[in-house]
Amino acid sequence: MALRNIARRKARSTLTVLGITVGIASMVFLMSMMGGLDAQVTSIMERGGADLLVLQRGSFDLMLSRLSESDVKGLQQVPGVEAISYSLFMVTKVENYPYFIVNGLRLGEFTIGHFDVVEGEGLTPADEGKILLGRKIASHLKKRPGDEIVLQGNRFEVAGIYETGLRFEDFGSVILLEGAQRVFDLEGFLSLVEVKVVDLASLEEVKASISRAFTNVEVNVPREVASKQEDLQLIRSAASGVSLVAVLFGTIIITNTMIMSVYERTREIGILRALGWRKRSVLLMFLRETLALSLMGGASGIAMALAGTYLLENFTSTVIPMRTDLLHVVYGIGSAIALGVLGGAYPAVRAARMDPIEALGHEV
Amino acid sequence: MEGEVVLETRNLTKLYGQLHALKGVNLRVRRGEFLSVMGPSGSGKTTLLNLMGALDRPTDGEVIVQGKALGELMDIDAFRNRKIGFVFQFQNLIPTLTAIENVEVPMQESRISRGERRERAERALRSVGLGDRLDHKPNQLSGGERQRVAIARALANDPAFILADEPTGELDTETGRMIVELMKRINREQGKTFIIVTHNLEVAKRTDRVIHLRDGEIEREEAVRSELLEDLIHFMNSELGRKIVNMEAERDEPLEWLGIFEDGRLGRSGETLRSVLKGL
Repeated sequence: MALRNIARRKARSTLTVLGITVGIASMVFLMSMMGGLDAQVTSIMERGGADLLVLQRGSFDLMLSRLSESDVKGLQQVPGVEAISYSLFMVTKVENYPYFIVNGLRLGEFTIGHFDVVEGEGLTPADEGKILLGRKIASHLKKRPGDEIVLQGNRFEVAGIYETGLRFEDFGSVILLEGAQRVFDLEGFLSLVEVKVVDLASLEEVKASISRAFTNVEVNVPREVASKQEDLQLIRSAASGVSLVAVLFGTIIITNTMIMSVYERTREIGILRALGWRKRSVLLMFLRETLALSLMGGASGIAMALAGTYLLENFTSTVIPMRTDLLHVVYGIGSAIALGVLGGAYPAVRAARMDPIEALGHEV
Repeated sequence: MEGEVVLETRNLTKLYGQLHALKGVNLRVRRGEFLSVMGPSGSGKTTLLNLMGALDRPTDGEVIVQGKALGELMDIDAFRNRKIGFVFQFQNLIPTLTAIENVEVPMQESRISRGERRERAERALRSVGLGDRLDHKPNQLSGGERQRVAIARALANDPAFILADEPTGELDTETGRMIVELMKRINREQGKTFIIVTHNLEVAKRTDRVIHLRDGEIEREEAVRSELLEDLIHFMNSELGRKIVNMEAERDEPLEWLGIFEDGRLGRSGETLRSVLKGL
């Protein structure tokens, strides 16, 4: 009965479902984006098995952190530290690609081992003028080993292509640390130092002793850094804001549709009440209709978001990674239900409360 | 009149703001009666029906159905659902549902299995001669057929009473007559008590008893079954009858001789006849 009532006003129902679709789709899409970004940043932080990240004091944002090498001198000797890895992390424009990520790393340290060269050669100590490109940026820029690339006015020869499976990294590059410092005029500076500890059980102790011994640094476990990234937080709140507005919008649309439907069917409501239908039954009839509408919108919204995610991942060169998991689908359906109940509650209550006699005398 | 009183109104009063829609109506309806309530618009007949059907609450007085006062019932919806079958004037059916689904609507509120609902709805539709229209939507049915579906729906929960508000109001004379005949047959065969509100004399004269309401009061009531009355009604609907009621006199020797007309206006007998006809 609910579906047939919905089918009465095909155009209106379709538009309503479409409105909800757009709302739920933007929500799920944004959640997938946030999920992807979070996962990506976390895995970048944990790359090569780093247990602790040492950044400039007070700068949670990786891009803004500047450590001088003297700040962290002797870090390797802190008890409990197994290995350290220096890293300079920069973003620049290369050819037409605006978010070219450059990792300046040192040979022989654990982070560089994380970049698996799948084509061409890895870097050697003599390779200051050479660069490793991620698989995705290489195919985007149509570069192969032996080709040249210009970074901030400096020519680099592509030594090899690597693939880590992380979208940020596969859209980035690796050069030797000294080279990176020179190219970006940051001699003697680092973005961070990645630290491996001997025993994970003593992680907190090691963290405390580094903080005590080095005044100008901030020590964090990778996951914390990821969650504290300011730009991510900003994106996260923007995404939540947009999602909220989208869902609110859907609620208003559905309320409007149902108020009209209740109004048009006033006489029918009177007949049902005269035939002995309880208020509750009338209420449920309308709630079932709103739920059917919102669930249809929810399902097509999720489908739309998944399709959008798929297209973005596979047919564009954006660095934004997408990750849709079951939770996002559950949220999508949950919001659709919430929106149906919220949006449908007022019209349904109004329908249920109608005086049967007035309703019977109503003419549309 | 024989038979047990199954529905009674005592001093039934209804006020809408300042408007006195009903002024202390006392009425007793017996089991199996086929009753009509007549009156001009605004006489309170629909209000009376609504109060008897528990669609509305009286300002004063009470409705007693099968010995129980409606005001004391805990579950008024269930009462309407099980004891009363309603038939309205127009837009009576749910347009998205087929005939059989419309008949099932009241049963959805009672604990009847889906299979039984269907079976009973089908039986009810067959009893009103619509066995071949089960899956038709209201817009695929004629006005008379729609009203027959409504009657089948009123019968669905096997109620003791059928309350009909202008059931022929939107039908042509012939179809209206058939609908009344159908109701009469159901009354006779199934023993249901019918209370029909109408302003149509043709309908009223086919019922056992007519209650005349005027300004919220019972003006008078009468059993309509007499030959004389039928003849009078027939006469009133004739050309001459209408002329007398409308005081349009005419020159006609035999009629002037009978004293019906006199010098181009109603004569003494004409005035008497007019007051009789007006009272019908």
